Amino acid sequence: MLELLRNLTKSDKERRQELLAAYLDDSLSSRDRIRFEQMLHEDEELRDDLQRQLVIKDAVSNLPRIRAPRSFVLDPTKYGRPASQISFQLYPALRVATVFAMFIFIALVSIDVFVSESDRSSGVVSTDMVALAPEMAAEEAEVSEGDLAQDVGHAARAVTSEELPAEAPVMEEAVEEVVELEAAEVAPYVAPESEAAAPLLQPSPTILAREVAAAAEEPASGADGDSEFVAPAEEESGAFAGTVAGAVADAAADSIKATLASALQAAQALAATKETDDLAAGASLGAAEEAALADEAAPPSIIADLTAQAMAEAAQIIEEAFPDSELAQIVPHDESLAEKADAEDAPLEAREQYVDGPFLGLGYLNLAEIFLGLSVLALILITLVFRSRVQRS
Amino acid sequence: MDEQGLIKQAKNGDVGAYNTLVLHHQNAVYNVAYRILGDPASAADASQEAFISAYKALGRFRGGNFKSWLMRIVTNACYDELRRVKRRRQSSLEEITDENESSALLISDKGPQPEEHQGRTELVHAIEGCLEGLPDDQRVAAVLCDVEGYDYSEIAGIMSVSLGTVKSRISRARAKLRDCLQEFRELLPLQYRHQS
Repeated sequence: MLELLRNLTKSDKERRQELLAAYLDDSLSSRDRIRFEQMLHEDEELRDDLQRQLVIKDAVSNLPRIRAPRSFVLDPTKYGRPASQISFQLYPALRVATVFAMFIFIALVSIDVFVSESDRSSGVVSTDMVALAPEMAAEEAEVSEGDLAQDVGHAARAVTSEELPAEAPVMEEAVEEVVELEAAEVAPYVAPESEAAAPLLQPSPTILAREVAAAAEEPASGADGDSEFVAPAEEESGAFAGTVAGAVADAAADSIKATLASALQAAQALAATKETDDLAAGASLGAAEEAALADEAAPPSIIADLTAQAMAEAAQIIEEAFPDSELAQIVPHDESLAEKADAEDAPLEAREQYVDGPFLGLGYLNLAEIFLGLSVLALILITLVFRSRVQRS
Repeated sequence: MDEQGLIKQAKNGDVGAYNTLVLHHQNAVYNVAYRILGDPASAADASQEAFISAYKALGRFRGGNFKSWLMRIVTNACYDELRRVKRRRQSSLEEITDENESSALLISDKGPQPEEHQGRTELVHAIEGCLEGLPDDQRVAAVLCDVEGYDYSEIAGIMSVSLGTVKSRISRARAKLRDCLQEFRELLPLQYRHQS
């Protein structure tokens, strides 16, 4: 390539000089020789130049041979056997291995990126990501433990009417009633102070406490005032849901069974009040479901089973308490449907949380690719060392 | 001389066998070094260095033309020496030619007549001077081609460059030598003078 470029940039004079020199040294091909002799025949100046060059070549060739001023033999006492040339034997193999490894690495990363992009566009989650999801969820839960405690505390404070509007004394009373009632029901599972319970909490998704706490606050602020009976009922519901959040969060520390029992008991208490609405019941039901998911150490199949069980039981309670409620109708009684829904939810959550983000800040590289990349780098370094040794010697 | 046999023995650590090879090739090696460097002392150093390097690297030699392989090593040694000389700034044409007159021993000295000897010596000095004026790469190519008689492909192997590069360097070297020797036309054969 370089040769071609150099030929393109040569002037006619340079080309002629090269042909002339090659002709003198008998290094032209037969075809070029014939062509050059044709040129010689037609160009007198070229013939003169040829003669001058011939004279110079003869003069240089006839420079006297110089005898070596001394002998250059080696001292046998100083020099032993020549060192084996492992560098020279390994260098070509190393070069090939380096190039080969680099091609594999590039191909692997390209395929991985291509497949990842396809998965993203088609909604398929790679098994690596799904496998990583529980571990990363656990890490996130550890990090957000403090947030959880804060949320639970916030919900508890809402229950104790610290954040209730001052202009709603009727609501305050209602809340106190519900708190007393609920406290009696869920006493075995609820710590006296939510803040004190925080250190006992096991890692669980922050979303659980936040959703339930939000459900707790929503009815209190959402009273429309059309009916004086509606507001107290919603306050009760909100306060009750907040208490459920605390119960769920604390109970998660013990076991998934206790969590479910807490949630279901809360649902039963909710049913007992008979003054709540679908929203509060939904929050309670959601709490039961989230409680089942709270134990991230449990296998996905167990989580799905427990969730289905919890939802079925909660639905049954709600159905008994509110025969006319629409909520009971939308609860999936079919366990297979619940399992299917959970099985779909888990990878989707994992995907939302982990597929979008690069792994270790290295794009789509997985551990095998990182290892291969490091191997390629090591090979390149070793080859460069060998190359320098070869060149030096 | 069984060159391949000696090389095999030398590879096994027989320094005596290697010295036989050294004695056989040392004049050619020194001659190339001298024509490239233009200085007898530097040429001797480069030659010695080349023979030592060749012995150490003998395991790398995998057959073929041993002399060409040796020339490649001495050429590299000359490049190293040129770099050293340039750093020391000791390169002086006058010093080289003076020393050459006093120390160089001409192998093919057949004892010409005094006038002829003087004219020839002047021509040799003129050519050496013009060779000295060439860029290093062109000088090496010209020496290997015109002084040592290697063909283009051998020179390409010795200098580790492409055939086209060799052609280009030789042609440029000859063009510069031609221009340089215009100043010494009277020393050149009549044929040259008539054409100039």
